Amino acid sequence: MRRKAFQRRLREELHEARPPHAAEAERRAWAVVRAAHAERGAVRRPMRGRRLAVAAVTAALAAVLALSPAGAKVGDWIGDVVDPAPDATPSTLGSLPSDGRLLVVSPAGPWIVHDDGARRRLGDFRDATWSPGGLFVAAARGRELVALEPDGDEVWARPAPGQVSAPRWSPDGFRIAYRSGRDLWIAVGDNSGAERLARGIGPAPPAWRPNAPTPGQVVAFSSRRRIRIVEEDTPRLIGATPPGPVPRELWWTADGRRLVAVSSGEIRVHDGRGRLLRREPLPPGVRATGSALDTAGRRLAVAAEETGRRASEVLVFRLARRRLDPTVPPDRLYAGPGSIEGLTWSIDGRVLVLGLPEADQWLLVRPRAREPLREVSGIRRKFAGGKGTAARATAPFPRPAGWCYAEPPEPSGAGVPPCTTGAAPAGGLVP
Amino acid sequence: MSALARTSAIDVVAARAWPSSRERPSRRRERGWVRAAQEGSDEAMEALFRVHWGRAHRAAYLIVHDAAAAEDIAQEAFLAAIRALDRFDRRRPFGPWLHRIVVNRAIDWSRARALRREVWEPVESEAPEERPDGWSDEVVAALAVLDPDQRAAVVLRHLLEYTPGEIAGLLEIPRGTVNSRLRRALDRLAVELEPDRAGEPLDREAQP
Repeated sequence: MRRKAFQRRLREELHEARPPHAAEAERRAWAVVRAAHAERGAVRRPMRGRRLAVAAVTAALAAVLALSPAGAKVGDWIGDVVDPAPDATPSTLGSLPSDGRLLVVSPAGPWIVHDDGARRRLGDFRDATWSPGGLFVAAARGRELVALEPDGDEVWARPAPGQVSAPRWSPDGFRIAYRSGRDLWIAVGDNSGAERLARGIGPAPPAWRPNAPTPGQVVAFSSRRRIRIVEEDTPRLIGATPPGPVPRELWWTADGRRLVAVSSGEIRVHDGRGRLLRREPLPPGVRATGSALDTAGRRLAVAAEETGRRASEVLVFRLARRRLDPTVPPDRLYAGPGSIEGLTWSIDGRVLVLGLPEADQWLLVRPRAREPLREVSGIRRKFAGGKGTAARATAPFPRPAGWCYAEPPEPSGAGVPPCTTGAAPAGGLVP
Repeated sequence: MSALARTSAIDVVAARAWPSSRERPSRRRERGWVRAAQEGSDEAMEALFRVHWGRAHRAAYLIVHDAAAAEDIAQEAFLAAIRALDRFDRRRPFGPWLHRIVVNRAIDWSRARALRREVWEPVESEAPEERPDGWSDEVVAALAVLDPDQRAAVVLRHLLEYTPGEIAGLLEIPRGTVNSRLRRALDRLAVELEPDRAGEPLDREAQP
């Protein structure tokens, strides 16, 4: 009773509140907003109808592609139509087949590709990751961790004792885990501090647990042959896995109840305290080089290289509620010559992007249709940013590193899933 | 002038008288404004601005407690909305979309200011220099003792009237976290605003 009366009074007081000089502030703000709106009208591209027409044609062709066994050929043709040759329009990539923005890490630095194909280089950074809502990007610049706005504006930079790599933003947005040399550090999202959490961690990037049941955020990282699960605020060890192969990537399911560790020869599923629930060896003769979990946390895509041959494949495992589903063999989504570098799900889980360095291509695949939707060629040149060395075949291949919303994400009662994170570099992280 | 623009021109007259009101336009009317604004109508943009500015500005001020910063934050939120107007899904209400930007920027600003003060400045009073009539000194002062996350939760719940579930979606945090922030904030506010009843707990209520 007392609480309700108190809340009623508080509500009334807040509704009565007016900031000082509110009328003048409103007048000034409207002048600025009106000018911006008028300017938008002046520069707005008169392309909407054309873009809609292209989208409609693309959608119709995608439907044909899903039904037709000659999908790959049609896919090539769509690629030609939607993604003109680099010489013709070097500044555009072609529209993305799914909403949102794609983060790309290239030797010239990270880029953001918008759904209409427009792209922007963020600067000279080596590694990058989305914040959970896509409002910021955390990036590595030598011995510095840097927070950026998606338009490239630097928000802050924090020096580190060693080379910074593998930044990963916590689900609540308040922490960033990153490697400095071989150590794991945690920085506060507003750059108000940073602490070393562990020394000598393994090659897998740290993985934050969504929906952690503890007051603090929970992060998993590999340490020798175990994975340790730590509440970072305290810090307090919540659990550790039994000894096993050194994982190259760690993923939490969307409900935060299962931790998936991908090593070169097998996939292991653990519970929130590290207990082993299931092992799933990869098929004989292949080793995992990268992986990506969709936002729903149900499909794990694994890039695998065939040992002894220069060929690769992408396998999609279905994660049942408690474990990898043993009754469903993995889908072989792609198999072809060369290696695979970069693997990322779209935010809606409908498209998987994989990089093919030897072909200098990205392949955009719809797993449900089990056919390539588009091939995008000339990737090195598209993301060279005017740097000749970045366009060379020997340079690291530009890899899709995560998919996020068009800014800003719209609210919903059920909340919104976080932006996706792509596979770590196939060659491993630089210690 | 198109029929849509004419409608907006009529609406804007009403919208100008709206800022201090708690009433909101119907969803249908707001959708019409958004569509017209997307097509370039200044009148529709003004209608949206007049309806939403007051709440956005007030929310920013109650979180940051700095008149200039609140004006900047609310203004920047509108500019961000204009930049993203073409991509806006008209099936969604405009207000929550704007409020998400305002509140998140206000929280970021408050944290950054707290850090600057800690490092460079002596702690100063957060009370505004001037308080016009109708403004409750006590509530402003009491809100200032909360941390920015708690202030944001209180503003979203009790000024903008979102449910804890909606606040969780806006701030991208678990609903349990929203409930605990609200509980702690109200307990603290009760101590500040009703010191003679300090130590007497507020009874709990189920949060939707």
